Amino acid sequence: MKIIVFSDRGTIKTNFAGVKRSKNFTVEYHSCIELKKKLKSTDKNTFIYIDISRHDDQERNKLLKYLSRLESCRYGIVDPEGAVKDTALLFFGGASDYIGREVFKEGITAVRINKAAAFLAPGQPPGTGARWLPEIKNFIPSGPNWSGIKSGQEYTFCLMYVELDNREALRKNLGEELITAVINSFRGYLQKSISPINGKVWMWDGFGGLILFPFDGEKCNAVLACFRLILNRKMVCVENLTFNTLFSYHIALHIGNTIYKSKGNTGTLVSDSINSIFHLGKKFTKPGNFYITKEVFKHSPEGLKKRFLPAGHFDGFEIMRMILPH
Amino acid sequence: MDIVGSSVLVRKYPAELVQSTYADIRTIVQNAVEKRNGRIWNWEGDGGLIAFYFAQKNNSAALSAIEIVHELYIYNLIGHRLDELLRVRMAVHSGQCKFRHNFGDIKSDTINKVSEIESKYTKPNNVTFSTNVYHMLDPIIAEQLVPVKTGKNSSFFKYELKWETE
Repeated sequence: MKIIVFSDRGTIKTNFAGVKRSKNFTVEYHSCIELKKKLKSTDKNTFIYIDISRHDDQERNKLLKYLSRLESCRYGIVDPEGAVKDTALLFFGGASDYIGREVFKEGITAVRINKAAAFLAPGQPPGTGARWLPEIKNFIPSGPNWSGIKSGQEYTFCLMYVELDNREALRKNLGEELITAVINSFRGYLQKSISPINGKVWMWDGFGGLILFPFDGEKCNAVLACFRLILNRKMVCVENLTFNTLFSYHIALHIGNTIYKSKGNTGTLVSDSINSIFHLGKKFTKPGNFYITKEVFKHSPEGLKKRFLPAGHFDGFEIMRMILPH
Repeated sequence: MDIVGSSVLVRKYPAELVQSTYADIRTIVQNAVEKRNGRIWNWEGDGGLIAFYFAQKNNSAALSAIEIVHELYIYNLIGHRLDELLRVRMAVHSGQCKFRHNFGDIKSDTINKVSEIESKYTKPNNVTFSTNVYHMLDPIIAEQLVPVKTGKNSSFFKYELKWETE
């Protein structure tokens, strides 16, 4: 695990020396003024400590407010002067550790940091950045993007199945040439919509296909992209599907493991998760709808969760469906 | 377009918070209009005037306005930092207007009309369309609009985001 300590105290490395010695941790030190800039590029499995001893009351309150909204990683407060009067409030605000005067003098240990990392602050709702341990079996996070993903290795991905509805009617009314044009424009629009969040069309067969998103174990951004696809369906048809016809499509989203192989080399893959997402998308998801498994729901943005309703069980998974716009 | 209850928000919340919220709204607007060749002609913190000129200008304006409603809905779900939901009013009208580089120099009945439709006939989170825009819209967009009862001879149409349970 990576630990980043933000402090302007010259001797801070001495206090974290016990952590530095542990093989399980790497420790970086930065000045407090680098905090916001550094957090923009911080890995979500990083634990940060902020030394507040050089902050006056106003700066400290502002910082604690900022940290309480932090979702990108877990944090602890280092308070060598004992400036914080009510330490419980820190935990209500989302902190996972508090290093007070005595602990600071004795030195921070690897054992303590392990405990802090496993702690879920009471004020933090499950499913936010505070969730540390995933509930997926054999969880192998694929990271926030494709840079660390190698062909032939198994990872946990977010898997999206999407397919145009009314296949028979389309075949009957449009003919093969027009169908191909609609499918190509639909596929092109999908690719454009999902690429900003690292989605890749991985398999495609006829009217639909499977899209892969790297999953870091924390947030499932794909759920918002799919929410937009359903919310904006009529606009998508007017602007992107060329034929001035109101098309419909359904989407299913799941989180699970598969060996990754590059597109076109997936014929021999055997994966429960791929079977599940295909079955969920093809057999269970109703036309025009967007279904997600409970695992996706847990990792969805908090505010979006209230736009989903229980939709039963399928293949051993609890399923939620998006409330649809008119 | 205009943010509903802006003066109350300005009084109620710290200036920094209101400014950053309004900047988020402007970003939503800018993203929706510029990809459809629209331009923000005037922006005064809590709203402004957007112009569309090229082919399909009515469709582009309508789609931009609908997208802003949708994105604001998402913003209210996951992005906003105020204790209350942000609401906007928008109106879409089409007509002639002599262009001036300095917005303050533009005198236009078309602009006066769209301001009137927005302020007098538009409910929060609605987009109101004048009749001449409505008749130029793609049928898929027009089918989403419903007539607005004004009690006068003029008739307008509105878009409102509705959900299956509402």
